[in-house]
Amino acid sequence: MKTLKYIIPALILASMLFYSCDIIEAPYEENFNPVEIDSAKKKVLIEDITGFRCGNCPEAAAVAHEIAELYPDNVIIIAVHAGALAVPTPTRNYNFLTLVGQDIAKKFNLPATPYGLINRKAVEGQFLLSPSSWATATTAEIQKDAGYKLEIQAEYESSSRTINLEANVKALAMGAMNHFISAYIIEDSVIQYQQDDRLYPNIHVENYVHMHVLRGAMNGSWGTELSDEPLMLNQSIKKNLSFTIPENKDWVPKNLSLVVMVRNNDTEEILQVEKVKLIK
Amino acid sequence: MKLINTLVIVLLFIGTCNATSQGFGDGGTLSGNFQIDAQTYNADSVIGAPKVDEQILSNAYLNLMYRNADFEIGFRYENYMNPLLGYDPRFQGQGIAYRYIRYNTEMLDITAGDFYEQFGSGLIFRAYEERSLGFDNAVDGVRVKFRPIEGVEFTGLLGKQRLFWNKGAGIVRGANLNIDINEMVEELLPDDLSVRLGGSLVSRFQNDNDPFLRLPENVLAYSGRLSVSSMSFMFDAEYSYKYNDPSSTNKLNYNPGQGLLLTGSVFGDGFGFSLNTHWIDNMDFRGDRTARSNELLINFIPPLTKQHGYALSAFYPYASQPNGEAGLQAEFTYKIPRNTFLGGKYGTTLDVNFSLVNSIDSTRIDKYTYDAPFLGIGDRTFFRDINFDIAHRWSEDFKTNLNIVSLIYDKDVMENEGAPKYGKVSANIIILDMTYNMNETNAIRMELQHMSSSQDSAFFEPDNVNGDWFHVLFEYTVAPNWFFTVYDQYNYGNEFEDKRIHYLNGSVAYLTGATRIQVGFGRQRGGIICVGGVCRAVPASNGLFLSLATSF
Repeated sequence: MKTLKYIIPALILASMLFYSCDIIEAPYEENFNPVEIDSAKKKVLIEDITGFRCGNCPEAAAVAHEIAELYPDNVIIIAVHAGALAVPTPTRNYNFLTLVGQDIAKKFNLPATPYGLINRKAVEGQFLLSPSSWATATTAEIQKDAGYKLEIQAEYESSSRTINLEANVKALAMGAMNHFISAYIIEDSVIQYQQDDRLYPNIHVENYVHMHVLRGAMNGSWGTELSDEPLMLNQSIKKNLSFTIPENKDWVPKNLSLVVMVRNNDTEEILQVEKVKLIK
Repeated sequence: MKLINTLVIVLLFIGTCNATSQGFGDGGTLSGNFQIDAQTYNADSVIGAPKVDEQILSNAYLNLMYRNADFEIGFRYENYMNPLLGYDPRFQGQGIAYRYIRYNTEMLDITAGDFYEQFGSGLIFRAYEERSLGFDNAVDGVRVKFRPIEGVEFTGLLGKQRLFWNKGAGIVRGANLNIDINEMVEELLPDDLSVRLGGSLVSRFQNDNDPFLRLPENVLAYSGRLSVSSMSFMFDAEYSYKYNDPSSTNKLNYNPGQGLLLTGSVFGDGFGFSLNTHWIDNMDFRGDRTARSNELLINFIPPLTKQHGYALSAFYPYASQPNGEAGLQAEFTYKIPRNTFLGGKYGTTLDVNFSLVNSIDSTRIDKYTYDAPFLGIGDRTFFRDINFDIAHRWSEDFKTNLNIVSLIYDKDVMENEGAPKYGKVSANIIILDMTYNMNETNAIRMELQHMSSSQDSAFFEPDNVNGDWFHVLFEYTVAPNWFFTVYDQYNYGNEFEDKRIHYLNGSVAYLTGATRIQVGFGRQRGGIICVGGVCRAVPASNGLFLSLATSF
């Protein structure tokens, strides 16, 4: 029959699909040992976009910490409080919002929380990644060679509440136009309310220890140009930045750290990142 | 650039079609449609309407199709500058969101580019567009439909699904076989009995580079279905099985998924009765294991609840729970004949509907597996809806519709991913819809709606939703073109006095031929809109809205 000529290949094609099936048996977890990464490799910045009324967010923060344990010394985490669930309410009015956080939410079209940015690199065209893809994205980024080496030193003048930063940037590869340097201020141990749905029925945690909270930017949300001309291979440049903590801020200087990044202002990608405590 | 390229291809195609080639007729037909919805936003803290920097937001769509004999080419241009509030902000931008070339004959139907498709009820595969939800999971790839003999249709597809302005990470493959016994072998079955069989296979491939878990790169699902119908009854059954698929939405569990749908209906002289049931376990299947909310869905759980059309009955809509739900829906329709006591001069239509959806019986074994016996029913009620609809025509000029709804809505499951916050909401709604034809061209319609509702848990923060509501609407029609509407929704029973707000809104619509223009102004309540169990949150707004739709 003429139709038989067609039906047989069709059935073979269908049965091929039956082979496209992976069945995983326990144990489901990979053998996990903290991995040593070459210091010349890229460090990875995980921007965990969160909110104090976001009950799913503490679980995402735990995912970020798990990744940091996997690659100690090479993963830096920032908690960016943004989105509808980070907006203060009449009963819970501590304000975690920042201009930087709002700029990040606007630029990447944040629809909800938790979402994250891994070195602000798009994966299949999407910048915002859900927590279950952070480990995969970090692993991919961390194996790349670093384009820059960042050495940073910070000092704090308590009388004038001024933060002074000195960054030595060395190009490990040919630089390019439109590379920016950006310095963010983060604070650890901010004790405030957080909703944590994992703790049902006690989901309201009044004294949650918020870590690496993004507090502000030293030189604008996106930073300033690294240099007039692209850096040549092995060329170094020194950048100095200053920032005075405004009067009304309740930041505790000994809990502050600075996260400095070199970013590509055309593609948004973070090329290298480094972190230093403000007061040792 | 992409827009220009597509236009060039379309024009070249039209330009060359006069050549004598196989399958080309005299000239083709060009058709399409256009839609734009735009709104202005004024900050209104009373109703919780946020400040919108852009002040005006809009969604626009243009579809263009050219058909000539067996060939068809088309595309859709979309513009969100910026997207309306409540639509995912990642839609921001503009471009060609959909484009395809199709060759369709009696035996072969080949599509290259974007397409929509459904296997059976959609339980295993459904790619569709629903604009009111901002939902579009079109597959971009290749689809071949093959009909070797009457009554047999085989479909194969391969591609990646749409995710805003990009594609999902996973590759989706599917095969489907539909057999219609009546058409295949004409004398086998009695004339009025129809038997149809079907089977499908769908699989997703996505790389595993996760350092923590061993994830399946190929996830396969299969399904089988049977449909028997005659003049007086109809019976449908569909079963689907999905192999391990740890993902963002199912807490990374390694259990397989299963779905069973059973539907039966009987119909006779003026009456119809249908019973629709399903049992679903772990059937959230996506084109990317890390996708969430309405992103990259591969399949669709047919809902067991009535899609309510009135403002207050649609206040608490049902959202499908593909990770686990068991439910049934029973519907009875009866047309009380004319010239009887209850039927009156013109007859009365009575519709009774009962829906109940519960959790499934599931016990956690360890971090990655759980035990859910097949067809086991849990004791948590997600949704229950009993409703009556009585439509009666009183005279040539006057008709009414009475709608009574009593529902239980588990707000934690529907709106908070199960995390406890609101408890269950019980609501009783009564609606009277009356239409009076004043003369040949003018008609007036009035809706009176009331909802009394109560919520389990204490109110943490004041909201604009709780309590009793009253809704009144007037619609004045001047046939054939004009519609004037004004309505007020009043939350008079809100627990918090300063939240007892009026939502006043008015609009004018003009219809001519295939074009509809509507302009309105006023306050819109924040809420949820669901179509087929898939939902979107709509933020409160206050402003002017404009909507235009036309086809050509």
